[in-house]
Amino acid sequence: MKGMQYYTRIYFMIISQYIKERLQFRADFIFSIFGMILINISGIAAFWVIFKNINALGGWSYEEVMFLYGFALVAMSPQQLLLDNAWQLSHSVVTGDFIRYCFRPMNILFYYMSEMIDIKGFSQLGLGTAILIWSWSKLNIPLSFINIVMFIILMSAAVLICMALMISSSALGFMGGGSNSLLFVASDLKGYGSYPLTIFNKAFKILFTFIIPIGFIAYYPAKYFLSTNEDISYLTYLSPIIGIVFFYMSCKLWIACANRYSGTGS
Amino acid sequence: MKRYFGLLRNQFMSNLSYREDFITSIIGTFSFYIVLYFLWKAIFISSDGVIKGMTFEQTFVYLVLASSFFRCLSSGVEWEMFFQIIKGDIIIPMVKPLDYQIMMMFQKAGSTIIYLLFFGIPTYIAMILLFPGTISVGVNTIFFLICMGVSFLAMFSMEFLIGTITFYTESVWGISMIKNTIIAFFAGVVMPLQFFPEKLKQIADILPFRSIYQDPLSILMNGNIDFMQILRIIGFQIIWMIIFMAISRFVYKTMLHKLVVNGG
Repeated sequence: MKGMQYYTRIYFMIISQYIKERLQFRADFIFSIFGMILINISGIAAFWVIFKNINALGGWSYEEVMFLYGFALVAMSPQQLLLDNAWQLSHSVVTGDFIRYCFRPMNILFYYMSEMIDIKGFSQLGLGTAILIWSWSKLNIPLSFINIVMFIILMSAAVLICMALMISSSALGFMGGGSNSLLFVASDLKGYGSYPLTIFNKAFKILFTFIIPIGFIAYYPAKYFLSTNEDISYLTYLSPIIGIVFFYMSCKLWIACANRYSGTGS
Repeated sequence: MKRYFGLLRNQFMSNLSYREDFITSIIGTFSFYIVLYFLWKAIFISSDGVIKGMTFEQTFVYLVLASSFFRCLSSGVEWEMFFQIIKGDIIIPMVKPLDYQIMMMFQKAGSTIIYLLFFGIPTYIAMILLFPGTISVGVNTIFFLICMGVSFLAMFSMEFLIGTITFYTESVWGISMIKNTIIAFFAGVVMPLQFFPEKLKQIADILPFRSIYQDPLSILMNGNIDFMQILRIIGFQIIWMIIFMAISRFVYKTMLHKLVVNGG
């Protein structure tokens, strides 16, 4: 099997081609980035306005809700950036174009996803980081070594969950219907991850923790930094494992569907 | 024989995809309303039940109707136009003896009515049944239908304008998102404009967008609204609608002219 070095080298070759292509569309570049920023600012503005009327949401203060929001934005960025080609999958399958990915001697999921990179994902990453820094300092969370290590671990888990969600819902594209409807739903669900799970009743809390784990996109990881020691549930510490497991399963699912597709030769 | 089965399979697949679309959009809409419910419930818990004169039930019902209405009027014509333009297919409707803009308008009016029948009206009825007392049904409902027609023309003109602009920008997602975000925020679809702090509310009052969504919805929900108020709302609506339509038509004609002149 090819090593990490090979895949890294190939990846940069493929995306640099794509970026050169896309940069030719100056207006598209600018409008997309601006659009993305505006969407996220609208989210922040909504919370800002709401907190002009109340003091706490689900038991969380404005700074804590912003921390959650920033955390979620950063967690969603790698998936937004790297897995954008997921949206083209159903079209690629229907037109038969997908077959060309089946014959290369490298991991089919990697090859497919590496064809596109979504530059506006950088603006989301930038905005999310800015919000995180702002709320981190407002909340006086110590910048200790252990906090930094935990942040990297928990953020990685959140990133994996986001990716798992999008990869598994794009796999439906292999069924040949040609529609992205499930991807839209998954994308919306991903967005709900930026709200504190405490707003939900027991049933939905369970749903969003164990069945559609959007709670791990921001809520559980962020709890590590926001709560006192007694509050941090075991789920927070479980996030890395859950992240890895879901990510692994989603990739397996996707590749299995891809193999079935090429098998029937439709 | 194999060929026939291939056809059958194709038709089965495409029908499946319609059902798949339908089911997932129901799931998507439901999950949105559920999250909306819990989010606003939590907001109202921290405020002793009333914010700027509105209760939780009123706010929730308003927001459900607002997002349904917003979805109803967002025909996405700018996306269709964009794909037609970049593929070059745009030339096909252009050579027909029908006005392209008017043609699209009637098409989108059709899809808006379909959406209304299958999603809009059921949602409205569901809200009346689940949250009695929040919506008054009566003469105001008829006035709302008038408002809806005006709002449709205003939204369509704006989206058509964006579609025309994509001819120059070769980009649609960004502008479309900008349009959606700004309109939804300042039209009272994200939250009722009463909740805005003073400065922001003043901006929202000057902008035309509240006349497209929040004001008509207040007519739909509130039976006691007095007639002068209704006339004022519809009046402002119509003024803005005319402005949007004029700009949209002008830009469209300009583009057409440029196309013809350049022999495109």
